[in-house]
Amino acid sequence: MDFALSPDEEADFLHILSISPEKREVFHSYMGVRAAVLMDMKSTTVPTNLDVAVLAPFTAPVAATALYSSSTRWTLKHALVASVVAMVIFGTGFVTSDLFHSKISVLNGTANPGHSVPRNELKATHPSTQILPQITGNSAQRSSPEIRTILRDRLVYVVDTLYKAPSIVRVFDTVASFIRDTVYLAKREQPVKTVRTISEVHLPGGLLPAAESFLRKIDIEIQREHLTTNPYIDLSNLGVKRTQQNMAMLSSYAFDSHHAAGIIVGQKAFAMEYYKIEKDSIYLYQQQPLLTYGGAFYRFSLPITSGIVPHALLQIGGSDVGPVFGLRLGIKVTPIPHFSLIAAANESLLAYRYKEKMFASNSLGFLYGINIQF
Amino acid sequence: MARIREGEHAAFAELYACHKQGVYLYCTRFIGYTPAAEDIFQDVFLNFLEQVRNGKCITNVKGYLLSSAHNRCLNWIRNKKYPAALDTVPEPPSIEGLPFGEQLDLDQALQKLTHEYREPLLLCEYEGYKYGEIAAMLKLPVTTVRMRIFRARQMLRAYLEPNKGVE
Repeated sequence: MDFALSPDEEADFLHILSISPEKREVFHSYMGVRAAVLMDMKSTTVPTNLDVAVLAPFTAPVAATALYSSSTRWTLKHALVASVVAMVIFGTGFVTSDLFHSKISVLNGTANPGHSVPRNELKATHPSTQILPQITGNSAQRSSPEIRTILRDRLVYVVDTLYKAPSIVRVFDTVASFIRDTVYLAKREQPVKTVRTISEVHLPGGLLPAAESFLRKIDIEIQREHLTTNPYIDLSNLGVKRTQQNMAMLSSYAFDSHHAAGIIVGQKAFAMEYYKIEKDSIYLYQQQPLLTYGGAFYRFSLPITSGIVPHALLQIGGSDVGPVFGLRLGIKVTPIPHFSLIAAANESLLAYRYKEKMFASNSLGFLYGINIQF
Repeated sequence: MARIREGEHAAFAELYACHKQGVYLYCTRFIGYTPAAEDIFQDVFLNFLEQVRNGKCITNVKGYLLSSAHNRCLNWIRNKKYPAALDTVPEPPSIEGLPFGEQLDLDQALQKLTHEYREPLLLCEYEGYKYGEIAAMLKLPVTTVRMRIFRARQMLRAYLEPNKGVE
């Protein structure tokens, strides 16, 4: 009755039913019970209140997620609207300021770098510029004085030692002048109020001005150091050259002509001496491994003249053995643009631990290298 | 299981929809008292959910649900209806003792059976388990399960068709 008869057993069972009416009747009764059970299964459904009760643990988080989603969408919507409004305002301001400046009288100058041009030597070269009228004439006419506000700006070329490309500095003089068109009074323009604003304008080039400015502040340096401190162990007996290749590469970003920061990677030999006490013996170890180290540094430069820059560099980093600190005092000479020579004295300190004891190793060396600026 | 553990509503709802009918029928037909059966039904699924969220790995979901329902129904019967020991198998009621002509519906007929006969019959007829699977679930010999189901069918037939004799 669990419908697990093999074909042979099923054949036997059907044969029995075929020859015995009583057994057929019992079989039909059992099938009736089976049918009643199936009808019962079909007619019975799980009440909806039970569905709600069982699935309730999942409905609250869904509501919270929906609420969070709606609040997130609202915040995003606000952000989008604000961004669009900001872009419209910025674009409007950008366009109108450009139009405004084009109507300003501009006096252009071509003076020597580093000097501002006197006003009477300025010559207008920009197509939108006009020369301010000079007060001339011997007219006897008198007219009522008029007050006119003149926005005058002067273009002054300035070359900075750090930035190799020349920068144009625009100086805006706001002058409220009392002008008379008669020589009789012979009054000169008298500035009443002067407001000066300076904005830096870069010459247009192949790259975007911001990217170009960023790259100009980066330099790369390759250096080699000749250590003066002697190691403890006699390297010649071990067949090791005393002078190991102590080299490093630096890359820095100059914030201005004085301050710069960057990263350094290199290798240097440190004379390490450490000991341990075991039983009644003291074990003294001496070695001079060539350690690879990396770190960051800060450099302070003091330009004293064009092409010669003393500097001090403070370095902090680490190696496999322990932290490394360094101090360098040197001078940078720039014989040709973008290329400099470095000479410095370099002191380094390595801290390392052995058997719960701290040891230190210092090295003093003469350093030389080349510096390439973009 | 992983989706349910992560709190995915659709996964649990899908599993619940697959097994709710079988568990509900088992609980209601086993106990015969609908409010208690519904409480046990709810406890079975909430306990299942809690076990999955705690990291329990359940491979045979249907078997786990029915075992949980079986244990809870037995506890309810033990605490509510049958204070006597349940390890003895009582003699089936005499079919001949029924009043002539009394016909019961299926639910009443099932409640007439003791739970030792009702349970394997429910697992076989309602849940579709084979004798061997029922024996493993109830930890009984297969012959005992076969005998009890046979007797239960006999009694059901007598309750549903009292005019007909029993072979």
